[in-house]
Amino acid sequence: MSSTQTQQARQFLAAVEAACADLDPAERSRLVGGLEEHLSELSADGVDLTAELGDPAAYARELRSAAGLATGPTVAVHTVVAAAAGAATGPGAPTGPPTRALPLGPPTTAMPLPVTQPAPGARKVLLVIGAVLAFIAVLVTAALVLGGVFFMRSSDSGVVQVTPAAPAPMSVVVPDLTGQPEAQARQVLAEVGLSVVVETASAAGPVGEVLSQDPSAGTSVEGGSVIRITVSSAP
Amino acid sequence: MVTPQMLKGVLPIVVLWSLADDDAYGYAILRKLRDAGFAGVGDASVYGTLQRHHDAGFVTSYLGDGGQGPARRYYTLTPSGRLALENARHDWHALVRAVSAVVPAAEGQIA
Repeated sequence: MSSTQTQQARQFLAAVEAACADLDPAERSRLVGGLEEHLSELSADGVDLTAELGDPAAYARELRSAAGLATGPTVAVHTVVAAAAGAATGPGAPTGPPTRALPLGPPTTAMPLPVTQPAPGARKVLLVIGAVLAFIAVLVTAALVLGGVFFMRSSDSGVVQVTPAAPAPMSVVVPDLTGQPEAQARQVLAEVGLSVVVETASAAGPVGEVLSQDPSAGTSVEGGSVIRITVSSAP
Repeated sequence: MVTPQMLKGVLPIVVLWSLADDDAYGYAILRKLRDAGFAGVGDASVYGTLQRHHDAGFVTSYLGDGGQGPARRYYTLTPSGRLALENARHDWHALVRAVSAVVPAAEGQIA
């Protein structure tokens, strides 16, 4: 890391730490303790820290949220970080302990700290709640993903369309798709983590039904493999 | 696009999934997710998620060769992380099935 980058990283770290000042010390240390190492990895990979990391206050919020910690008393954190960032970006900014930059009037007990430093038991409960919330969000995502999959299916003239499936590195047994409507076949493939290429062929019988597939049902393939299905179009 | 709200929901699973085949360091995971289509995912989200998984015992880390520059901190799935991933995979498929069942059949005709 160049000295400019080191300086940048140090200021950034100080501001992130300031935005986590309300956390339990052990929790804060777990969260930001390895951050310096992480930032130097980013620099070594040629990442422009300013562009990649953005505003330290926003970074800290995102970090806390992703780590499953309370994102803190929003207003107070905003104030704290704005002050810390201002101090850090000024010329010859003092690099004292970040807590010095905190112009907090009320004592810390005024903040809803119990939420941010739960007992081990309570932490499990929070994790469970987090998992439930995450699951709900996943539901919404799946709706979007499926919407996207359907949306990508342009009309019948298209011969080959590849729909990338969710990453699934494990091996998968190819399901039997013949006789199913195309949309259903796509759903089944997406569910088991396989990609699909659709070809059309004119045939008698109902339009949009899977006539054949390759590889055939029962074959074991790697997750994400492409299954070619031939769908009937109007004769 | 994947909205921040949706991203938040899938990130824990996706980060575990990204470690299923190979160990990786934080920024490599970030790049992998962006390449996969999670364009809006931020460094703090991935790093924070890794810390969360670490606290939960789903991943451990070690310092590995970074090629050039400093060593990189690689994350690896623990047996309990693999179990969590397996459970999450079942949940994910159950979810996809449930959503599929709700999506109107006519949806397939919109193009």
